Amino acid sequence: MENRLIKLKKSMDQTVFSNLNFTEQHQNEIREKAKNTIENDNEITLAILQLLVNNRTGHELALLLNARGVSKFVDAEGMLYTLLHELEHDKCIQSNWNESKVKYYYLAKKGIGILRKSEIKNTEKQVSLKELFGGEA
Amino acid sequence: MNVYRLIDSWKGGEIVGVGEMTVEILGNEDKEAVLNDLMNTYGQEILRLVYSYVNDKEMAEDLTQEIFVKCYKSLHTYKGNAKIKTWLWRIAINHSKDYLKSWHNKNVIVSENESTNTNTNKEMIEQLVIQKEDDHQLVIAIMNLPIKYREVLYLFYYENLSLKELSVLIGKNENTVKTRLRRAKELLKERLEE
Repeated sequence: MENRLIKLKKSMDQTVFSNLNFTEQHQNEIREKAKNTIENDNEITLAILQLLVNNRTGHELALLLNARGVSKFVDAEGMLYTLLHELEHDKCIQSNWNESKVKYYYLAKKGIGILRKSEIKNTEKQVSLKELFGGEA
Repeated sequence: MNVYRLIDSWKGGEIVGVGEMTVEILGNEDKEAVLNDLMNTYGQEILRLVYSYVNDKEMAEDLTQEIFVKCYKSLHTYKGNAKIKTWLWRIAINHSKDYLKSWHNKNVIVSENESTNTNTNKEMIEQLVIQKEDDHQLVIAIMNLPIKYREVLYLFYYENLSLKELSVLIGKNENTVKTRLRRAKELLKERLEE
């Protein structure tokens, strides 16, 4: 047994690992994701506020956040709803049920204020300001 | 200044004697350089390591991707107390185990996993014709062992790590590692003789 195990590297390299390669493409995808990953909760909150410039359902938000590199809600939408609930409790956002009984979230006054402040600090994010104020920003 | 020291010493595969603040002051460009170094040095090893846990090529590739992104995000938590390789491997091992424990794996992927296993077995059986039969049987038997036995065999025999290194990586004391290695070999022997 010991003799066979000592050759384990060779045995595995020739079988299960024979077409397992960490390629340049893998590296590129990782670099892309690493760059796009939004790092902390503040940034996630800000991203949510930015997305709620338009009315969105929780599910839409999860998808859009994922597109922005926030992948933590993909298999755990519940976490997103907890966060949305907190934001609603803090009066940053509001929600409503539409006629087809789907819950929509949108910015409340406080949320708009927070967003505006952050936009002043960060010129890169002016795109959503434009959306919010019809292109005046 | 510190950044350059960090990047320089990185080339050797580990960081020696760098102060705690060093990684925290890394800018985005430096963090990317570190990420690239980590991927070049350890990418292939991590992919294999993850495969040894999940036994599925695509899942191993996805998880490896997540692991490196996670490292990039947590670079500021690396304090230089452990070798960077140990730090990275621990993240990889925990991430793989979390995945195996996750609701998603247990409830959604189960049937797929079975089919993947069969595929892997089929591929291997085809190769059996060409290559030595008992080597392959050994690998199949190991990949079908419970995780706690599979991981010690893999780290000890494939990666040639010491008992001490294993103990650090999987967070169990050396005696536990020894016991698991012995038990793993017994199990393996039984299965190969069946």
